[in-house]
Amino acid sequence: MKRNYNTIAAIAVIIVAILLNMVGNKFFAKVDITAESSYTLSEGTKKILDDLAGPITLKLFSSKISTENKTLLNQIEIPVRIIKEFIKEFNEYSESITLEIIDVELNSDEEDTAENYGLQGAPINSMDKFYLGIVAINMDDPDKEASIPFISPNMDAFKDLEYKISKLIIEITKIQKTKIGVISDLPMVGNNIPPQIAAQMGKKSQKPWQFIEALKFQYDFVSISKETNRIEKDIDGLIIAHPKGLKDNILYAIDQYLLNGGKLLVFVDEVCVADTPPQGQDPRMAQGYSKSSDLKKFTTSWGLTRNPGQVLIDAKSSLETPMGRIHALFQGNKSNFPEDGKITKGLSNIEFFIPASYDYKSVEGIKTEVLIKSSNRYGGVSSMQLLRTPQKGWYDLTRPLLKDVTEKEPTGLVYRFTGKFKSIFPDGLKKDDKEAKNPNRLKESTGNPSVIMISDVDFLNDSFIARRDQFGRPLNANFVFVQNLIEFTMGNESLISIRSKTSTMRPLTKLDDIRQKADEKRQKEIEKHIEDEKELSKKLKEFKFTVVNGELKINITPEQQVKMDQLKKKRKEMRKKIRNLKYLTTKEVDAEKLSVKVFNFAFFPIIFLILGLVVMFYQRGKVSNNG
Amino acid sequence: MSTILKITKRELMGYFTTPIGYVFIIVFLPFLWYMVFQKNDFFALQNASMDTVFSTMPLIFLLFIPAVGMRLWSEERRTGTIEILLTLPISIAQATIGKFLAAWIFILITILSTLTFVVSLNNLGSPDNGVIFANYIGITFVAGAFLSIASFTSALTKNQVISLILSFLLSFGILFLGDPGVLEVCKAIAGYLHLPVNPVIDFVGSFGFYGHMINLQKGIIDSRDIIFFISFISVMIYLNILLINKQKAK
Repeated sequence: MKRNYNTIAAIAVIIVAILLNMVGNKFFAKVDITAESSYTLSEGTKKILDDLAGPITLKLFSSKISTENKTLLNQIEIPVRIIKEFIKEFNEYSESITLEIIDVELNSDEEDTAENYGLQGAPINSMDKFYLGIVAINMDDPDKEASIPFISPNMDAFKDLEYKISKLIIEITKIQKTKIGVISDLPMVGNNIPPQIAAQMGKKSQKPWQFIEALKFQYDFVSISKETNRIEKDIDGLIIAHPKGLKDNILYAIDQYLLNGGKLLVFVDEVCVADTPPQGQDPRMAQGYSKSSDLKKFTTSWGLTRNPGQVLIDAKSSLETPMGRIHALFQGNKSNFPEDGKITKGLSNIEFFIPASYDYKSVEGIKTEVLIKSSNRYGGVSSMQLLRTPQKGWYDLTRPLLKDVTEKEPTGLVYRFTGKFKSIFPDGLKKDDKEAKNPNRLKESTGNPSVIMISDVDFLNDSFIARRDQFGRPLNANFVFVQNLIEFTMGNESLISIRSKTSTMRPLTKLDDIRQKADEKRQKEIEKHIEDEKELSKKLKEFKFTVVNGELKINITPEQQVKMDQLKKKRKEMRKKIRNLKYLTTKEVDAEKLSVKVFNFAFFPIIFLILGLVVMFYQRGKVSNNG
Repeated sequence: MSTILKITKRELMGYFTTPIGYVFIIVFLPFLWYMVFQKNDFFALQNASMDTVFSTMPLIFLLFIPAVGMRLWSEERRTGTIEILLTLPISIAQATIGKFLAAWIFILITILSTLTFVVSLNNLGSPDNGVIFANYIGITFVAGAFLSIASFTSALTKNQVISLILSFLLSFGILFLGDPGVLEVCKAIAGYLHLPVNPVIDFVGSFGFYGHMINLQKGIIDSRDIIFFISFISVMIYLNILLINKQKAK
């Protein structure tokens, strides 16, 4: 009887536990305690989902991990599960989202369906493919569908998954795209001419720059001619990139557009490397080709004065490699951004190649925010001097200039202006012009105009935006930054908050700091030794060599030979000293690594060892006392 | 309740008044250290994260916890002290829970001795401390679940080695129950028995610890995972009580 009772009780408890779990699975709660709420939908996504007018179906195609392919797919099982779990968040948050998870089995109909939707499989062996992709369908208009053809099954890909899905949803639900006008001499919008037709026309087929291409899903970018004297009302925002030689007609058009509550994004540069002379131009003319741009009449009215012929270099925030080479004259990080900056939130490594230098003085009625500022140690370098020096020599050129720079108030590299703007044409285009008498002509702004002014253009260019390391990871945040700039200007901030989650990196910064400080500490000494070594090499070259029967011979006296040997010995010693100094830096970093290892290896074992000994002696004392 | 606490205190002191507790900790930490710094080259990863620590710990616990748990009841039975224990004015439930809690607290102390990694990471960079905290919760529950298995197998036999092997095998099986390979086997069995395949797989898979650790590893505390671990531990302790009661009746 007792035995039966025990068995029944055991079964009953197991059933109760299973029921409890079943109920728990129906009514559950979860808390995301990660620092950036990485696994919770961001406010931007929630807003996009809240604004949905009709039903959306998300179809997630995922290859089934079975015994046949398990050995090949074992590594990706966890990332795939995490990705699946996260996609469920969309469906859990919004009733408008229906989620279908389709397990794709090998050689099944689902494989064909996935291919028909444009999904791409990654080959796992010579025969089979692995699928992980999403198709979004607007159920009110099933012709509107978009897809993420393949999601890399790793945690790096997970970082921008929320952004990509949100983008899909916008793409299939957006009724009308926002129209952005572009005034630029640079071919950033592309010409949309297929290569073959372009060749027939004697032109070059040009693709849009990457940031334009990436935003096409919700914006229409339209080139605006420099000959125009009116910006149409249907233009929701205006990009002015690298403005050169803009005549009064277009300046007036921009002026009136801004005063009408327009939104401007202005990119100017002291030296725009992406700006190349037109094909077929006389090489002598090309030499004097100006790569500088400005919007002087406007920038002056906003309180900015250009330092002509000067580019800004930041002593603390320039992008240098440990080999002493400069990649960009300015690299923006957390300390260069405002604490509550929406555009720069979560970003690091915004690189400006050769930024222009401006002084700022406030203007009545205009509210100014600095979105990116320099450090407190910066200086100006002549653009001509910089251009004459190959990039590998920039470090040597700029270091001496920055060595004695004193600390001062940081200067701005990206400004935002809002408030009351005044016309830069207070008397109209021409005094006798009929436009001057136009009653609709504005002398002061109405509505909520805004301007963002960035003192670099090259950072937009594909060669900078697409800078990646050997693993294909972006080396800078320029791509995200420019997308944020455009969306912020256009008032679509939903995607900005999602993007800010994608660029979270957690490097071991202390080791980098130690390395940097150690380099700085020895920099002067190393530089001195390098100079000495150069000097010695120069002296050695002074000995005259002659070629006799194809062999290098040296015509020197025995005294000179002794001197040469001494110089060689000295040079060898100098090189050794340089090597040793560089090795000391590595040694400092290694010392920190070792201290971390020792601390983790020994701290608690020693504590417990001491505790054990104390307990042992205490017990022995107790025994002897009792004895 | 106070009886349980008294037993817990007495048992816990046992870990620190004999060499066993110290030996466990002093062996556990260097082994973990080796896995993190030597085998997985922590500094080469250049990432302020404790992923390696937390992915290694369950595997170490597969051996470590059965070794801690094997002596809970087997030792009492081998030395005959269980007879005395059963005659004391305490219930079997109180004794079982007290012993379990003491061992769990001891393991928790061992887990907390890895806090040096947290200190180092915060010194070297800016780790996500939310993720680290969630992982600590996860690993504590996994340890508790392993321990409840070890305590149960320890009550099954007076041979400590058999208890260790049994609890290792059970823990290993349950840790990887959600593994696709295991599920494929279940699928084949369900097919053979003409049972509905998908519900069977979902049901079996839901018992795997691995699946219930994913959220906690990411930094998400999900009530479903917490309920699972608490109910699992409770069931195992209850079965343990029934087993000891049965032995007492004999």
